[in-house]
Amino acid sequence: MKKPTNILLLLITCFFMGTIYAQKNPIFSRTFKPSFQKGSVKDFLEDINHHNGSFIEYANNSIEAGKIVELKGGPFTLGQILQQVLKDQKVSAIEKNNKVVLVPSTTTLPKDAFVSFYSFYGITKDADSKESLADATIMEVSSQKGTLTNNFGYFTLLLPEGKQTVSISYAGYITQSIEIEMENNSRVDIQLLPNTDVEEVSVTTNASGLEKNGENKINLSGNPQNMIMGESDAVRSLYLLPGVQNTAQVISGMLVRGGSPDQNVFLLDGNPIFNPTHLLGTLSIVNNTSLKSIQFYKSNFPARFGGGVSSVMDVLTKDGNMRKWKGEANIGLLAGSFTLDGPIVKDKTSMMLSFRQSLVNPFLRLMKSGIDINFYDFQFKCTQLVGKKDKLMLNVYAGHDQLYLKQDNSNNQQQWGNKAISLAWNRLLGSHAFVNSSVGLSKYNNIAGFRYSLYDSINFALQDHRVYNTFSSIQQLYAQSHLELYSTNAIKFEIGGKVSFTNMNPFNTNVADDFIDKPDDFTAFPPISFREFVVYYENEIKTGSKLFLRPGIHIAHFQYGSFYYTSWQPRFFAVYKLGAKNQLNFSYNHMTQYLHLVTNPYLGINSDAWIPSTVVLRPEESDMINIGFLYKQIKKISFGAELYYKYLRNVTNYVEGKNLFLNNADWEQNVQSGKGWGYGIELKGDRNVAKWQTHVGYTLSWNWRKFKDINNGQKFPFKYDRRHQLNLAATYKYNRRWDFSGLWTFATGNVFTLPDRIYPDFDAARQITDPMVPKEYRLVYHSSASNQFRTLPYHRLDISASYHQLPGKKINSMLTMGVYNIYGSPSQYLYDLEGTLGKRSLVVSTQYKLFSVTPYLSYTLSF
Amino acid sequence: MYIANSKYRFVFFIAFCKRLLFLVVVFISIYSCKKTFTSSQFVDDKLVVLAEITAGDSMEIPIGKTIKVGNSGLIRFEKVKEATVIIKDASSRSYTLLPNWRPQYLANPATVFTNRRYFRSNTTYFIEINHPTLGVVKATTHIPVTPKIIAIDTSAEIYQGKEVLAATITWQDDPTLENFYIIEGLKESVKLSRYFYYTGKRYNYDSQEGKVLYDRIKNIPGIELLKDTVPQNIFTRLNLFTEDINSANSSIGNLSNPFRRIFFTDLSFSGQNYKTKLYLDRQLFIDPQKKGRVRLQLKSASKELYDYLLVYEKYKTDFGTLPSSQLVSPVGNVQNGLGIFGGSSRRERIFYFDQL
Repeated sequence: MKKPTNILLLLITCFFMGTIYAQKNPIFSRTFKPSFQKGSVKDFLEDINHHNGSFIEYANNSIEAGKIVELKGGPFTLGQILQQVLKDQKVSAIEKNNKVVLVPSTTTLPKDAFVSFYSFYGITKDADSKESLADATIMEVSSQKGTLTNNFGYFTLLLPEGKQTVSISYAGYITQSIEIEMENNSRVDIQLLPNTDVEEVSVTTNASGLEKNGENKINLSGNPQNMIMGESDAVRSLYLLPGVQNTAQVISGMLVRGGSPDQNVFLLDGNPIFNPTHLLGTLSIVNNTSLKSIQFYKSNFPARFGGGVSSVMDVLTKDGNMRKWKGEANIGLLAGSFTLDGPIVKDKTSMMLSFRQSLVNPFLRLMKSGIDINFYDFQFKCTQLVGKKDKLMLNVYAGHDQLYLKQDNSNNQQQWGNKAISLAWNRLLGSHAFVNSSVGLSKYNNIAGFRYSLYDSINFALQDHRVYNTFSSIQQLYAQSHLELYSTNAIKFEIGGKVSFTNMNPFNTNVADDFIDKPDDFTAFPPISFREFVVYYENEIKTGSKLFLRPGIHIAHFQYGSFYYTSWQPRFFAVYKLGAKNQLNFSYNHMTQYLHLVTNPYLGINSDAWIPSTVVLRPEESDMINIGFLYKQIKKISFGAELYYKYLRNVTNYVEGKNLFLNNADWEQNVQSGKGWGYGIELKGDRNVAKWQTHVGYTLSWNWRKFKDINNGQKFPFKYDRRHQLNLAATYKYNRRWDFSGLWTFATGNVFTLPDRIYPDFDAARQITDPMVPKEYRLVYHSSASNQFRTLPYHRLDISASYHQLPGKKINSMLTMGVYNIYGSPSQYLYDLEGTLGKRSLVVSTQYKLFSVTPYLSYTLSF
Repeated sequence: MYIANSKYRFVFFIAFCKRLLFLVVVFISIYSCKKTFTSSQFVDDKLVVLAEITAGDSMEIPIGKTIKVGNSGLIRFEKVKEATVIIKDASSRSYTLLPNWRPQYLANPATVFTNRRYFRSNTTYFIEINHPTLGVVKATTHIPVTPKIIAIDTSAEIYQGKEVLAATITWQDDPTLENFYIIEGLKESVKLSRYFYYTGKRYNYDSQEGKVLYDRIKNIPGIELLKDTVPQNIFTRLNLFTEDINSANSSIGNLSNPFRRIFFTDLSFSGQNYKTKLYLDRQLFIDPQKKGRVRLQLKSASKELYDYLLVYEKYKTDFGTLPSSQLVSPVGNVQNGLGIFGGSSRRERIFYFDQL
């Protein structure tokens, strides 16, 4: 415990040292006109002392006094002249009694020893809508030193005194240059004009062409691969990244580096969303037209994030246009949606309203799929500017899914939905600091019902049907604050904390004649609640132009009943530039997750329950290291490779043979914990030349689990272990109106367990007959190992063509047509063993296709 | 190779890195194609031991063979004919068991190897089975000390609308040992045997010759037809119900369901008396076609037997309801084979409901 505390103190000390370093004696900022432009070092120093009263003390042998110097530029401050005169001299300057003493040093004089620096800070916005722009690049032209805006558009850059030229650039906007006389800290809010003729790229980076911190900022529009059956979904871009998979077998869809879906954290404007998908994981819950930015982390986690050991998806929505009303509407095979945003009070209050409703049922009925799906999502955001420094944002989200699945002898019905509300407050704390605070509530409900048949125990005749209904819910109330402090251009601090209270009802059940829709109709299980307190600290340090370091620590204290646990989660990320086009990166992350998601294997799909960590069921923890290489030629070609190794402790699994919903009194005993590990290599390449835009992503990975009571305690492949995954995407821009695209995905099949031997029944061998059990059932299936078999590989080809109306009109439109899954590949394989005593033993295979060959048409209007 | 210019050295380094990376990827890709998972067509058959050895019972070890799944073959179990079965106790006394081909075992899916010697309680036994093609199979178990019953009270009741025999069993746990208890209800088929003595010799009345003899001499004073019940070593499972939340059955299913066996560990009552109430379904108590006696048994079981039977209980409940891929098979203690070689010792109460 002592060691992390010392690290924390050291980092805080660094901050204050940095702050002092930036402050200079005011005398250096005075204007000074030298008596000559060219002369020896000694002449210049004597000239300065002559006019300022022996201000500088030095020994002749400590400097190259005779070196001839010619001043460049002007007019000058005293600091600027000293900086030029003493350039490359091996001295250091000590201030004493309002004088400067030059003493010999082993290193040359720092470039900013006598120059005062001031903060150039403000908010970067879209000139049309006043929407703040995240990750815009602010760069001082002569020194090429720069910074990026944060998620709320805030930036601060320390610039030397005097006249400076600053360039501001952002993908899709016209780059702007500003000339500014730096005499004091200066706030300048920058407004960038959209460039309507800019080609979209799927992954944006900083101005140097190299990724600053390894995370991918996901493109929100214009990428045809984001389109699924006419519905644009920016989150789908993640599936093109190596290490990220989508499978229809799990409701929450996304699997990152072999982790389970509950190991992903999805934040919507900072609010945690517990199940962020519609349509069995096919579609994200956020309407594409309401999105502002998505940041995705899977290999290097900033210290501010916690709670998920596999990935973090940080989604921000639009504030709303502060100037004029704008809108966008889309109708396609899956859903219809619209987004409307505009000013309530011009330049002061704005709102954004978004709604989406599924339209897919008629198609599913036509296909006789046996599936009924209904979903909607609604989002409302109101932004209020309070003065020049404050901004308030109210976010409301509600989404709901209903799924009815009819099979031969059983029915499943499921309903799930998220509701979230949050109030956020941004405050600009002057030239060096920015704070974002919020309070919020997020809630998730899941009702799953399974209809089964009852048979007479003597003659096995069908007697009746019953529905086994389960209800689980989780809600989290939280307050959090995040402070960004800029010490120098080279050092940034991020400090913050979060307090949360989580309440859940994981195991409510009701056996009834029919499906139950209302949570109140369920047998109440005593709610489970826990508290979590988080503080974190992080530095961003640039040392020279080649090395970027980001050390940090995330400390999370958890309380559930009498169980207390504090996790210290160090994070470290480093980037070393090998040149203009190449860089290496390294990261280490320790992550802890206090919530476990267990899915009941006995009730079909989506009967999932969130449960907290306990003294028996310890928190899930991971340690991960990554080594990466990136080659990037701006806008043309990029290639990235990452090697990773992830070790997981206390991963959960059902205790085989137990039913959590049936025996909820000792629920801790029904879930077991073990360890897991995964490793692999991820490769990705992008080429954007002429009319072609191509992408390839490949993952080679292994994922293992080990539980004491499974597979005789031996390691076995995790259910989401897939050896190879390949994504190939290409877009051809025929002209300004037409583009064509295709996406082919391939993934190794999933592992599964199936018995490989049959042996006689124990009771039958002991001469015991059970008249209640058919004679044909007197056998025992035996599996030699868990997950020892693999399904066939998955692969799918989607194609589409889009027609764009040329920009410039009041109403723009886009028509997209395409075919999803053009050769009708299955999305899921199930294998089972069919056989009873005296009959043949057969392995039967079932192929499921949620969507087979599906042509679609989609039309989008924006105004 | 030395490259003097640092710029060219750097370019060379990058090129080298890329080539190295390519080679690493190719190597890993090739390695990853190695098939590490077995397929059922390569699975070998194994011997299966399905033995609960009980103190006081004669030595009977059912031994069977596995069948590969998914090969479109008939599920029909073959008898094991060529095995040599030897049981040893802790004192190194060795017993050879031979296959028993008596009619009562013909329908058994396994071959029952027997010896007339009896198992003893608080004794460790080793089994070694030698098979010419399936290899050597070994297992060890310990028969625990017989449980100490304090009382068994019974009454006729109605439970869940069914006629049941309610039984309240109280027993004392041994504090010095970790104990595992199993309660089981069976109906044992018995045959009525009639006999008589004539000139000091016993005759079987049920044989034709005996009946003829009896009819001829029955009026002689002292000739008396005697009756006895002979166990057939054939049993019928009686379902049990419990509401005891301390039973391990509460962790594997809903307590309102019937169970084949009821399971307890002594975790909650170590060294103390424990009382539990259970209900036997009377539906099969009286059966003119299968006359017999009802045996209500409290067993002290070895851990391996307890663990196997607990999972077996769940397995039998789920069989036919869940897909076979989701069934959890019981795992025993047999090396190089499957099944279980587990020890138990029992106390029981016997009830007669059939008119014999």
